[in-house]
Amino acid sequence: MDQFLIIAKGNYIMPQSPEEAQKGLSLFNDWVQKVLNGRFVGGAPLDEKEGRLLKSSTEVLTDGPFIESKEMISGYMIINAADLTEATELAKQCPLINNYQLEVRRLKPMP
Amino acid sequence: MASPEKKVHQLVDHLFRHEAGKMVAILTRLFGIHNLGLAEDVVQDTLHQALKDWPFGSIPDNPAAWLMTVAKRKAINIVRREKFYRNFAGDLDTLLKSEWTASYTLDQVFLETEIADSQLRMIFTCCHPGLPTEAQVALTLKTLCGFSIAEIATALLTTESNINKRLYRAKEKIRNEGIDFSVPTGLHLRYRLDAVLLVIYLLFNEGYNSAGDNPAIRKDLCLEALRLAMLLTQGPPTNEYPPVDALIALLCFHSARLDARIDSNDGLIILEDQDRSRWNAGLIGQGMQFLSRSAAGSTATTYHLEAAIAAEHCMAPDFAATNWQRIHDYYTALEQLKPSSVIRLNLAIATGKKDGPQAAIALLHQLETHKALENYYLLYASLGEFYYLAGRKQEAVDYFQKAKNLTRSPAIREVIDRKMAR
Repeated sequence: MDQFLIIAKGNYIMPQSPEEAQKGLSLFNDWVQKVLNGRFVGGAPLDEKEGRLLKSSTEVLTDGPFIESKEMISGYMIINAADLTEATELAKQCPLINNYQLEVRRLKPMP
Repeated sequence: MASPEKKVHQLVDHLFRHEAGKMVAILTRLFGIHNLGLAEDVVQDTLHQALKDWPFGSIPDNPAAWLMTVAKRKAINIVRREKFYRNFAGDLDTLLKSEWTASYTLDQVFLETEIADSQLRMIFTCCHPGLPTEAQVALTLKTLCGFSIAEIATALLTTESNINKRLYRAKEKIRNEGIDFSVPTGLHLRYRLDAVLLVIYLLFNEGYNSAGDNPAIRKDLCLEALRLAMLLTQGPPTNEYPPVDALIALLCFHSARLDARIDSNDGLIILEDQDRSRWNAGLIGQGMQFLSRSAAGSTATTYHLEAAIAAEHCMAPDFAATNWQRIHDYYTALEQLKPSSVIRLNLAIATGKKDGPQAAIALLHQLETHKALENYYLLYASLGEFYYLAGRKQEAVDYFQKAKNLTRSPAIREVIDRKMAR
């Protein structure tokens, strides 16, 4: 069992109503509880307002969102899966796929 | 890294919708009713942020408190940023514009008791008699119940652009005519409270009787009406008015039957055929409590009588055991209080159940000349039913057919079909 990082890129579409917003969250809950079923390790959203891109200890390249919005990282999740194929299948079922591009990467275990 | 899996909570049903209503009320209390649009924007922004942050496995332990905190933080920023060119609520404006008192004032307004008070103010503003009734209903759904334009349009069987227009005009009127954001006092209170009760009653009826074919939205409407009515009972002065209790009793009795009147295919089950064990005993009990509280006053309103009728149905162990004599008497009293063709129709039905089909048929035929009932399917469906009970099958089928042609609701058409097939 390896760990996989799922990176959510891009900006999502705004919900039309409070009810719709909440439905989006319940879908995510269902994914964590029913699809992942114990394989969810953790995750966090990233602050979209501020950040720094450092080139060296003395040089700050940019401050603020760094790249085109479709490539901006909105958050990440870590899940457990047998291999990349399974991790990809799990990510495809994640409701965030409707709002973001999801990049799935295996975390190399450090011996 | 945040949040292991156990922290991913299930959210309470309609949490966002209800919190949106609360937040709009509290922010309007702060910004003033002339800034209702600003309040709605801040709420939208808050929900937006929740939806952006929470899915990564980090739904907060107390989502409602989180939403309120974020809304408050956004409010502080707006007050700081816009204090030089925007006026906030009249009584708070000076306090908010001074750095010395701004954050203290904000803290005070966001107290739990003030949140309830703000919602009450919002109810009275949305149901202001200066606004047309349909605007009152739409505005209530939008600001107090957190319905989207699309949901309101579905619920009220009209188009989104129509709802948009209604809301736009209502807000314009609130601004131009200086409709205030407060709980009325003294002599005004009763008059204004009657207007509020009427909107709640209409809201409920819309959900309970409308021809819309989205049962989920319709049930939401009923429960929202009940929730708003309950807000009125939380403290004086609104909980000291017996018609409030009478209306709540009525809503409780009808809500208790909501699930039992819909079959698994979203079809309608009529009272006679409902499985009474599926009626919600808790709600019926609650209704009884409110009904006895409502007896405190000296006048019986239409809500009292309608609640009493609903109570008779709820207390009857089965359809055959219904006390039609008493229901007949209540309808007679109701007809005197609020003369209306629909009530006379109900009176005729109760008479028929009490004295036999011939009595009902005679009364129903008299009603055929009433303008208000001309295209009302229920009159002809009732004629059909009583002719059937009188053993005159051909007339029964003819009237059922006529009733069927007058309704668009698929659920009701199906009920009529079943009646004709007997």
